[in-house]
Amino acid sequence: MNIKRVLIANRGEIAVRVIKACRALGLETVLATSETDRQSLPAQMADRVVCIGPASASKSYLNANAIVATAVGTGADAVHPGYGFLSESSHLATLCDQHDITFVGPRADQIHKMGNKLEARALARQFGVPVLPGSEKVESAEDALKIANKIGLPIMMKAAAGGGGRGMKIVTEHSQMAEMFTAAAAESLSAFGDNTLYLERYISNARHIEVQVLGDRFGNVIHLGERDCSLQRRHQKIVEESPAPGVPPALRDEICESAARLARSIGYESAGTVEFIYDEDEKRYYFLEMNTRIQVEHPVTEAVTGIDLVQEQFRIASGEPLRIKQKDVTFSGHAIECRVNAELPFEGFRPSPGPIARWQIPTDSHVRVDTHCYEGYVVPINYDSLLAKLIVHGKDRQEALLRMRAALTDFVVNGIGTTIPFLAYAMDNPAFSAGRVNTALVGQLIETMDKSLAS
Amino acid sequence: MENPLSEKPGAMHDADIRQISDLVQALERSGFDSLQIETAEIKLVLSKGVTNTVAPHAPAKAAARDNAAKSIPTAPSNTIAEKLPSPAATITAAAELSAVKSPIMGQFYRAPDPSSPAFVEIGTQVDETTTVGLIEVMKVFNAVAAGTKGTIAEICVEDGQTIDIGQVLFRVRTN
Repeated sequence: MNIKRVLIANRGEIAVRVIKACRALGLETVLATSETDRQSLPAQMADRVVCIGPASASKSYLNANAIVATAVGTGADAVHPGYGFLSESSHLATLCDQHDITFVGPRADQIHKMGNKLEARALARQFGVPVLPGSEKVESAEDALKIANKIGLPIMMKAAAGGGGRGMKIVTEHSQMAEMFTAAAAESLSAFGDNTLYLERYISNARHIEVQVLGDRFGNVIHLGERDCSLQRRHQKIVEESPAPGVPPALRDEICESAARLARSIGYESAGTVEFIYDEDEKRYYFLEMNTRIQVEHPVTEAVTGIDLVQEQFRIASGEPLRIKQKDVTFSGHAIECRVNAELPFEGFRPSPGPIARWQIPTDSHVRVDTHCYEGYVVPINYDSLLAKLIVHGKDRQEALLRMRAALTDFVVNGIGTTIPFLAYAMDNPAFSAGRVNTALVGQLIETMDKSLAS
Repeated sequence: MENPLSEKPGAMHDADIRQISDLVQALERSGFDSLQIETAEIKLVLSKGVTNTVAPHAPAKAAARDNAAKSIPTAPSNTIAEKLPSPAATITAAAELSAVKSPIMGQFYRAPDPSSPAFVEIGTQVDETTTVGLIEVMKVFNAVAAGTKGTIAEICVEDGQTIDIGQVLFRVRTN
């Protein structure tokens, strides 16, 4: 491999994950951290640590100049951005290029192209990937009304530059249109610096299904199957699994192949994820967006395919051709991931930072825990609330579910609040157990949980 | 069968808590500074100053304080975290200046985003519901309400500063 020393421009469990992949490949590691994270687990693990700024992410983990300067200064020949922060910044990828540093991710032009949702939508349509009936750019509320009359209500208003649910509004009545249009445009402008909106038909019984792809710089693109991520709270995923329960096999193949086709159309390099909305009633799928980075939930795919996605990212970035062909990819059993967050599920999921008094993780052999936490660690207020990802594997969904329930019981955290009780509640839910999932399920679970607590 | 615990001497009944809560609100609306009531069961001293005391039963004291905190945002309280996710700040009166304190630990922002003007400046008129800043905790933004009526007299924290629970954010001249 022509990469020798990697600068990791991230924190938390993903920094730990990347360091482990580097170790497995014999690569040296430099961790760029904020002042707050100087004593963190990844900082203890990395060969070298450089503090690049204060706690505030905008002055540290989001400072592309500081990251590239640190890479140059420490003689790192590659930068791994993890997820979040600058992982989908074409600016960081370009800066790396300009300084002869390998960006462990897709090319800057690919990040840019897929980052604009309207452009990605047009590309999907061009390559025969179904998109939801909707619009190109919407200029005004009147314009939006005309389109809504054509495709029918309800519609979902979305920000072209969007992500994370910001700038998204569901419109169910014509009379709401003007107000929603103004609100979505303002939200989008403040979050992304761009107020371009578009419309899509809104699907009520929807599931979120996404496909993992890998591509190299020689035009080879394969898919590693799908993940169901329908359990979401405020557009943040909570539980992910693979394979997606109850999707007809022929349709599943079609979804995966269309994802690979889209990635191939732009000669996609590195690991990426193509997201779809799956209409459970109609058994139809529609392209949503493509994420040009490693995702939080990647271990689910690793568990069923046996492929280390982060290691593959490094191999691809260093210019090696894919070692695996599509026909060599096999899927074994069922995997589920639960996100353990520092939140109080019985108090509206409000954040719960602070010192961890007790940290006991499940250790069974079919269980994997990706985490940066330990007993005595102080969860800082400055970053997201993910503490650990709990991944289990079983021969089928039923076995995986049983193992997840056991693992959640064995996972003991004191001192701060966690989502573990909610996750355990979700695993016991009859609809979830039966694989009847959709994006509204978490909302219903929270409601019934609150009611059972109140009584 | 009756729950024997509810018959324990000194235990608070819901009705008692409601009565205390009503008294606290009555005091809050009145021009008086303190209120003292004594019955066979309980002796209650309420005051608008920095301290509020409920005597003599310790459980009663805790319950009354909790209840006061829930029912009137302007009462002094240590249990502010309960009001999340849209917290109101707590106020303590010192002469005619009221301190607007942070209900949570987090990073404080004076403006909704870096390109917008600050929510309030010195001299800005505020009332109980006026948003005076945002506090970010683990990527969740909480609006902080002034919790009192008056004029911003002092800004005690900087934009982007990490603040502690109970830290004074502003002082408001009440009149």
